[in-house]
Amino acid sequence: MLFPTIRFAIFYCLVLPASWLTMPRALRWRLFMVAASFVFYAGWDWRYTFLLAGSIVGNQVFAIGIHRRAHDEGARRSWTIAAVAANLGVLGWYKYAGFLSESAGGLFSDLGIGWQPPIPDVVLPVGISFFTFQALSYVLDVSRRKIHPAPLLDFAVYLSFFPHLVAGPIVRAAEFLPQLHGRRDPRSVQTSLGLWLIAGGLVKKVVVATYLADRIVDPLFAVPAEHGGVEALVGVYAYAIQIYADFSGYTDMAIGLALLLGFRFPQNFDAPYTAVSLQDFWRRWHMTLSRWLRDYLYIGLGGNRGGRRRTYRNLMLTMVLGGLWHGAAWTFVVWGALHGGGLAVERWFGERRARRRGDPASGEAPDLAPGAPVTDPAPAAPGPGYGTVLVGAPPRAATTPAPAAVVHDVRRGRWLRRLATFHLVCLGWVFFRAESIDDALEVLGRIAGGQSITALNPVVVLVVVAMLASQFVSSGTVSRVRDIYSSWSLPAQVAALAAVVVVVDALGPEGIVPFIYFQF
Amino acid sequence: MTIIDGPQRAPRPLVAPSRRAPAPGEQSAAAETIDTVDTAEPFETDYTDDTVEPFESVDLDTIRWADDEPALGFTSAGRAIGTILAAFALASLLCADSLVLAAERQPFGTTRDVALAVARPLRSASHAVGLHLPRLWLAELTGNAELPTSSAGEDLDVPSATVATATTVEPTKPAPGPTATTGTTLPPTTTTTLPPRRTPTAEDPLRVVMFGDSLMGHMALGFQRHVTSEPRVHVYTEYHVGTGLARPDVLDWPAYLNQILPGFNPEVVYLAFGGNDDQDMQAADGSRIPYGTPEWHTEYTRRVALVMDVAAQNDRTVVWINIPAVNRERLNQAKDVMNAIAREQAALRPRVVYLDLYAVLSPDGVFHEYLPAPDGTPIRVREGDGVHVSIPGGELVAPSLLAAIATEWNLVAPPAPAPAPP
Repeated sequence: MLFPTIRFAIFYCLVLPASWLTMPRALRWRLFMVAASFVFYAGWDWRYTFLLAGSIVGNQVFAIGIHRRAHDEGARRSWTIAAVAANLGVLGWYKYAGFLSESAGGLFSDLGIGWQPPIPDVVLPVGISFFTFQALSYVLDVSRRKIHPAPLLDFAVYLSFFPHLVAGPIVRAAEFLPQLHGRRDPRSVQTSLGLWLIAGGLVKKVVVATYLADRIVDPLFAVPAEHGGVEALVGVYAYAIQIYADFSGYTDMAIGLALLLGFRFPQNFDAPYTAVSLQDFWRRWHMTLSRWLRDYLYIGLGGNRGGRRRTYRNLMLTMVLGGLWHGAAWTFVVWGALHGGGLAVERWFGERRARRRGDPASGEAPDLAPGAPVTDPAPAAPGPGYGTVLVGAPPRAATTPAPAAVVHDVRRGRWLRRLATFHLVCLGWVFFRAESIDDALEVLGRIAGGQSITALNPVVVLVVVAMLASQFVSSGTVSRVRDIYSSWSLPAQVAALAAVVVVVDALGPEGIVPFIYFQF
Repeated sequence: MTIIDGPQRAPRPLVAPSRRAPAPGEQSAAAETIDTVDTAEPFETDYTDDTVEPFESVDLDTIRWADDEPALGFTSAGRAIGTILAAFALASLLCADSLVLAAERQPFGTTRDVALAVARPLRSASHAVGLHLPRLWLAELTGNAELPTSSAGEDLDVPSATVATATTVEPTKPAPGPTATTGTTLPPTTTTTLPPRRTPTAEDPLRVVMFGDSLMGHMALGFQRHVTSEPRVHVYTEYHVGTGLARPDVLDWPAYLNQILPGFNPEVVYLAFGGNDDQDMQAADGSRIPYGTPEWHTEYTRRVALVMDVAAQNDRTVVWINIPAVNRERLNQAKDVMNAIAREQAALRPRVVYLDLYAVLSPDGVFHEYLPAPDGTPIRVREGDGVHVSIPGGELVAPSLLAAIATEWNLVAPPAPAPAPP
């Protein structure tokens, strides 16, 4: 079941009141929510509910197994390795079995062995990456002694909770499970924010992403040779917006749906194209995945503990593996290497600057101390539509006003960095979207060649510019708009919400366009 | 679950919705209270402190909740439910036409009947008071108007393109394995004598259009890429997901093609249908025609013949692309029947070419997601759904598509060099 469908709308209209009605009885609510989530997942293919159930039971067994071996580090480690292997094994089976089987057949053929390994009759289960990553975070956090195992039913609610089941955000056990202990307060639901996120997500996902895909992105990457240089450049910008609108739109809906059920999710996107560096970009793009990669892959590889070279290596490995997770293709390797290399270069420059200033610590990201703000602390930093104020973030210290010329230079420098970062990210998106390296190079070649405009659609340009500009709208402005909506009467709020649905229905595509990240 | 206590950090809230709507001046208070669970990691402190680079802090205290922004708009759950349900009801009236369309698109059965029983009265009510007009106006304004539909296929007055002879084209790649899985038993046929075609040039290229259901999608893209270097061919492609010949109530393809083809004035029409046609159909009298029955076979044959005749008008060449082996059991069986029907009907029409993709995509008669490229490296020729051709698969197929018309349309030889300037 996908969010932007009539079927899901009916499902949610039934689940929302039922959830609040069963809330006073903890056990009943848990059973209801697990059942509802399984119905949601069965809406795609009921057979794969067994896979989800297997993941719940299997990971709970691993978590308890690890926890019970508190004093036997060797056994604890073995259980952890088994858990990781089992999870990645299942994920790898569904994602790469066909590729490996055919490749093995080709290898056997080259060796003169006329045997083709059977090609598994598998379809990649929707959302398998997301719930596998969540399950891994649970087991690894138990292994790292950050949490104790939860009761099976709680864990089942956590892993199968339908708002985040198929496309994230990747919510950690430590973020979700405590919310099960305190009963959600039916007198205080963030209705306005929830509806805002759902409506905005619908428009981004169904209207903006689909429009750009149909009008320029798909045709460009299908036949790059038929597009002029300017058109190709706009097409690449459009893909940057498309993938953002598609992905952030879906996770916005997930966050909004959960809010109305009384649950909080972590923020997943924070105006990523306002980033002033790649490091900043990864703090703003798919934030729940990037911290997952950091905590369970980058740190697992050793993080920055083995010296400078090892740090660079780990950065590169993390991003390349992150790229390969999207699929067994060289395009994803290049995308990952581009980001890994970029992060390493940024770090090297940061350290060099720090050494020149004689401050070895300043190259080590001083803004990353616990409790410190993780957004760019520079003044007048643009905010996203929501969520830039951090829990526990200290107020910004008052500083002595800088001379106007210095402020001007700093601002200009920030815009140059922002522009460079955006284009570097776009360069990565070309490889991410293209079917092959040759295709990516052809798209880039069209841009570099500077061929004339062939058939540039002004509406496409307008949408791209508007979506980019929207990232620079301050969170305060967005909050004020939302507050105006909140102050409306119920009929006005209902009418506004229904109007959004009409716009989405009238401007959206025929049928259901799958979410880009379902394939991952 | 228990979050392990840590001695070094002050407790912090993990769950923070306030118990009441905050006043404008006290929003920050809304982000406090309720659970106070310490999330410190006593066993991990040094480790995490040392390895947080290059991303943000690992500490749970710095989680950026999506709803951290203080705002108005806290309501009771009842109000939230009321808003959602009322908005859903109003949107159902405003979008009643879409609801009926979505209901009609369901496979025949109880679900569809129930959906229609709900959606049709809504549409009547919506039309009675004009609530459907805003959506209609918006859709027409943006060119997103609906496509033609009919319950059992519009009865078109189209001349039959049949004669007693036929044209059958085998793919360019020789088939090393059996192709009998297509279910066809027709003997090889011969080409009838037809008037010769013109020779396209870069100045006056061959006008080619490609239509179909989602099966056509990546095949059309692959073909477009293939003919990028062929200036003598100009291609227009259009496919509609979730359509086919079984469900004219979703999109009446013969009527649609009859309506739009004159505007393109094409010389060659490629067609690909069948990906969604392994289902019941509806007869003109409204009765159901169950899939797999002789009646279904007769009706599907009629529809295939009709769409071929529509496409073949004005002496156009029609290339019917068959359905290769798929990785879905029911459709894989159904496609044998549908391929056989298409092959039979093509054999009756001299300008209709039946193109068999088995030799390219299923050289040994079975489904392959990956196939070796000419250099031996495996390429993914089919999508993960086990049905659709991937873009590389479309590129693999493209030479066969072009070869199907190359001889007839004098495209085998390279284009004549441009005359030298005087």
